[in-house]
Amino acid sequence: MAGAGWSRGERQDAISSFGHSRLALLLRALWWRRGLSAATLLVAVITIGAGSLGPMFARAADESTLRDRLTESASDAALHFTFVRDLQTDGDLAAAATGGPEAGSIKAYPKTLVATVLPVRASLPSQVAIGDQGPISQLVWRTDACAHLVLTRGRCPARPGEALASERTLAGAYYGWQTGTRLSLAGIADASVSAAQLEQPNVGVTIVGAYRQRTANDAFWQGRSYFNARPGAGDGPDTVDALFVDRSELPLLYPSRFEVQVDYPVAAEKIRLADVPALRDDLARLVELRSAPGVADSFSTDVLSVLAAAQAERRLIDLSTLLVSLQLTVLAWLVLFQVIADAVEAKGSEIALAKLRGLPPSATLRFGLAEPMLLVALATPLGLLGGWLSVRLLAASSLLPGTPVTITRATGVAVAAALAGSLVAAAAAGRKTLRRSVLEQWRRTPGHHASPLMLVLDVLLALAAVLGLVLLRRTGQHDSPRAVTLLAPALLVFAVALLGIRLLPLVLRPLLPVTRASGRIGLFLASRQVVRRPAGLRLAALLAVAVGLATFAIAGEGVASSNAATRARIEVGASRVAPVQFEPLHDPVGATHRVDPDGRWAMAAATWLPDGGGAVTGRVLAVDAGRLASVAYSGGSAPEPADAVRALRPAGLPAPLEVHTTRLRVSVDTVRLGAGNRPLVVLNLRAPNRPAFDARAGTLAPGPHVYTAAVDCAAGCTLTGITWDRPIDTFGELSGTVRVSRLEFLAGGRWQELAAGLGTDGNWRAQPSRLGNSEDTLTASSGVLQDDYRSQSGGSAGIAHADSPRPLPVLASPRGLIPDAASQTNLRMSDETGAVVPVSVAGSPPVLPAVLDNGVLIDITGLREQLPAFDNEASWSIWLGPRAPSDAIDRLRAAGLVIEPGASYTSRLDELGRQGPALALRLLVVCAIVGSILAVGGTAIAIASTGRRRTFELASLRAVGIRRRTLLGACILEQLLLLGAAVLLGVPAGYLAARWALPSVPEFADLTPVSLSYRPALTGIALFALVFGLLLAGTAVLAGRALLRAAAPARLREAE
Amino acid sequence: MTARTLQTGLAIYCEHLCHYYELDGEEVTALDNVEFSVAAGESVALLGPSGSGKSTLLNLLAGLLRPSSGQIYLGADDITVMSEPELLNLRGHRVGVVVQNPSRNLLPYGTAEQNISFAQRALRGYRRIDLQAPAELLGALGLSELAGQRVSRMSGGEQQRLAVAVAMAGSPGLLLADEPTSQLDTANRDRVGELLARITSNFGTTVVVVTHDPAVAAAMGRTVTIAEGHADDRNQLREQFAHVEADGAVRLPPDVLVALPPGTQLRVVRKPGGVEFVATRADSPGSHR
Repeated sequence: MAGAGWSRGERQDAISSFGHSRLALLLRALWWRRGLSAATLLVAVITIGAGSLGPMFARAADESTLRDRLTESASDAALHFTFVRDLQTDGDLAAAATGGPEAGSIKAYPKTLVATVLPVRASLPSQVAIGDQGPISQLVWRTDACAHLVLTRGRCPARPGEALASERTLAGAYYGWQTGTRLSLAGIADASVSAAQLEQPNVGVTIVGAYRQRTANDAFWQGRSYFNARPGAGDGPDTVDALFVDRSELPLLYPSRFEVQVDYPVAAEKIRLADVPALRDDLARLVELRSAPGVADSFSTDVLSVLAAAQAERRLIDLSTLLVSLQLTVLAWLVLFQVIADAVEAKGSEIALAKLRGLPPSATLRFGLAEPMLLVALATPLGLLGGWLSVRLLAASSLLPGTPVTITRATGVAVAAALAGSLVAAAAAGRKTLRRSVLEQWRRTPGHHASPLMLVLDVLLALAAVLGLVLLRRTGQHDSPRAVTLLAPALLVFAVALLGIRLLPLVLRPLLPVTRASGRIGLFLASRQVVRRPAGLRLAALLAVAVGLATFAIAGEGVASSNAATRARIEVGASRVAPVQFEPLHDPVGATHRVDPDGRWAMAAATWLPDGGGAVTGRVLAVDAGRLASVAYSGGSAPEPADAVRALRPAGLPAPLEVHTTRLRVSVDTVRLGAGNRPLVVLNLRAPNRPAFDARAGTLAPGPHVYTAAVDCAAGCTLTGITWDRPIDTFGELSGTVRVSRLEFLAGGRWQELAAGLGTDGNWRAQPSRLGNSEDTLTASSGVLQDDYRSQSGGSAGIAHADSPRPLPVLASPRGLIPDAASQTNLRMSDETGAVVPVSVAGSPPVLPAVLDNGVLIDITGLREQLPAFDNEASWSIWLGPRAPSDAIDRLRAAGLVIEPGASYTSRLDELGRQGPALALRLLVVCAIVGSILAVGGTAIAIASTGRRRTFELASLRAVGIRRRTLLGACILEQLLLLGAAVLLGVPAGYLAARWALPSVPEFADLTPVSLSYRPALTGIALFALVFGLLLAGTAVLAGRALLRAAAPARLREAE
Repeated sequence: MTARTLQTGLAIYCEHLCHYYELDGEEVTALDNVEFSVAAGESVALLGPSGSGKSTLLNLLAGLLRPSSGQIYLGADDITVMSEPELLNLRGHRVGVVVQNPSRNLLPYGTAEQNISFAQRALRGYRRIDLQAPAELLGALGLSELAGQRVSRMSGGEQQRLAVAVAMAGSPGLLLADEPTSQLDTANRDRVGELLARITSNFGTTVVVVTHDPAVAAAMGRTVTIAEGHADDRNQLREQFAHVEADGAVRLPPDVLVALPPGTQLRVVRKPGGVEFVATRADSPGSHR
């Protein structure tokens, strides 16, 4: 063999072709084993993708959470500046408006809303003439105010001297204001109100239009109290909603002391996580600046608390996501290890050839691992792309629309770690084959040596898993779930799978004599093969772990979804809760009765905070109890609505005294009158869309008399009581005994008796004292109600129709009342005017709709009757039940309500679904199912690999005459035993893990008093087991056929 | 011809060579005190029935097995005391091996040239350009028609001939072939046999071929018989074996053919425990049993 003296060009060509030859050979090898190469690439892509998925999803979830928290707390997150300035010129106003940071200088606050406010008394000319003053209001100019108001009459002010008043102020001409009315404006003399003062006397505005709020909680107003009408509240003048004026009005008011309000709404959609550190720095500087001595103006924001809450939730997301993606990554690693081991095993004869040709160990190593290493390297960018696409899909379905998915440094680190792990797995997987000698590699059947060391290792691993599980279970309790408990199911399933699969051969061993004696050779071969602990046994354990994790994840997701639904139902209270702006002429209760006469889908409700010092310490939820059962949700340890109705509206109450008339009269026999002035006979009435009102019927005189009052009740009123009212110039004690025998109303020109049940005990009761002291002793008999009354200190006695209970029964959750309230009597709550209503505890459920564990539930009818100021103090809403029509909001608007869609069960459910723990569980489901499918794929590859090694064994069986059909059955049965064992172990293990660990696994970012259930539903698990079982059965059939296909008797012809 | 290109044939000497292995708990003797020698540049056939130990001997010569006792000298080196890396180096530089199964000799997805280049990866301490290029090697062995062809598309005979070429890729001093023709038809068997014989004559490489085929053995310079773990390389046979072909023809050892040339009529005498052949032709040198 002569070697020629090569030229330089020939040498270079040789070197070049040498390199190309190696790469070409490598590529040919990959193509030669293209199935295995594709499988290895796919598994490696999934491994890298799984590693990258966690950090990317966590980042996206963090972005979504930040935006969610900032959006739902937009008012808290805004910056609110209030400057009190003596403005003399517009220049002064401009200067005051720049007291805060420049608009846009902080990225999160790109724009400002400026307003000037001047508290005034607005009076009619007739009031001014007699030295009287009208109600308190605010003269307000605000940027773009008219664009955020609904004009009900007239137009927006466009010139000086024009103003826009609220519709509810004009309604019913209560204050005598109408469109076209000229109001005189005066400064506020009451020291309790703002010190800002109108310097210019005799300034006036003409009402050119009326407005309603567009929505009850419009973020445009930034929580400023422009709409705080309080008619009839207390002894002082009423407060009415703001009067809006044009910017040109302001110079007419100079010089005056204005309150200049500058609000910076937060632009939540513009803020990214990367912006948060700079935002904190800006705010810290701002807070420091504003808190410096001498700076008297006010500045408020709660954005740092909002950011802190978001950060706390983000930590939970980050940890949960890491733990979930880690489990998929480890599972994928293990499958990758097995797949690469199979790939290197498939190359075993070539590795033996390399050793036969004398390649040094390093060259053999490179040759043996070149293919998997190249595939792993190729999988890195593909895996990263796959992970990114997966996160995009997950984000589209689970996070806020428009949430960016970015590749961060953490992603890079995770990918590098996954790559490093994959390379290590590749090297470790190939080690066994690479170390095998040439002759050992050529052996027809692999030697199997059961290793006691592996058994010890398995037992130790299982014990470690159980120990870890116990520790984790202890760290998480119902009231303090920890994200780390997400590892618990993996540990449990791992322990069960590891030991269970080890036990499988032992369980089948006793069957060998039985199957041998049965003569069914297929069954015997299958069970014998499993008893021999085939190479697929470890992968079956892996499959069991994957199935167990998937079962846990499905169970957990089901439990979490169910609990989220329960929580959303109880927190919202109904299918939709729509806030309503209360207006006297448009009573929400009346409106719901008009649009839904049958009470099937709409219910008025109001929440209210009583004045301090009473028995009720939480929020009061007042509901139209008769409709509660049709509209409100139940569950989560909240009382059943029907039970609540029975508690709040005891049976046996008389029906309200409803009249449609213009005149009412009462027959009273005054048996005794005390010394001093005589009380007035005053009929107490209420009507829909109107405040409660009285009608004077005369002055009480000795002996029997009929007292008649003119009443504006043609459209319908309810008679609530009769007051023996103290004349305004009367002091000292008023007392007497009266007998009320008859109540009548005029209808059709004739007097008709009102069935008032005067002689029935319990139909009437003493009126509560509103002012001073009063005492009534009632006696009902023979159709007559006798009242022995006495009043002192400015109070008035009287009788009240008992169509609502007193004390009012309440259902109180644990923090709704003072401690030990249930054992106390004389529980009371009062409003701002001092009116008091007694309450009694009718039940103590753990939670109540909407107010949860910090409130009471009460019937709104009785509360409105007994607390006149309630209507204006409370926050109203309409609860819509599941049977509400799609145009329910429109119908209610048509009935005169200012109403917005508000919160719904669905939107709250979506919010809960975007919380970190829910996202982590959803990710776990996806990862676990991917892991299960990956494990099935890995098992199929392992089976194919086994086929290569068992070719001669199966060929021998065919050569001795075993029928192909019998062998096929044996192969399929063998796979079914292995794969079926994985499912039979994995599913129960996963279910057990769910029962045990779910109470410790966090489901929400915050704790909730709503009672949750942790029992997994079997339906989802059964469906998964069925579908997965079918998948495995199909795999077993295909694998069995593939196994047998390679076992041709011709393989036995080799001479070795 | 460079300093590397021609390596002189390696001489082989085995002394007191024994090899045992365990099967189902019992010790089996594969080789029993074998003394065996091959001169440098000689071609030898190891002839014997299945299970006689000839493949074991070949594996020992290739360094794939370690003997239970005894020494094996290839040239001046006792390979029984070599470490695994040294044995690898031995196979890479000085010993080429061809095994029975063509799939174990070649990379099935590679071309002829790629297989040769693969084998040449083992060579150390030489510039690769000093080696014979694969195409040249194929030409030198008369296998130019295989150039550029993929192994998976070659016939069994072509694969075995290529396997011989690959085994010669590093210009070894010793070529070991284990049943290289057992899976081939007659024509291909002869071609492989001729190729092996040409290697010795053209390149001076020592060739040892394990075979049960006398025709292949006939192509070698000398035959050593092995039976039940014993070998006799002095051409003084204690036992010899004839091979019955599929068509019933009996192949006699070459030296027996001298006494019983083709055309000799043999009487078949059945006896308890065996069969006896008796020559009956009057012109036969004598009857033989």
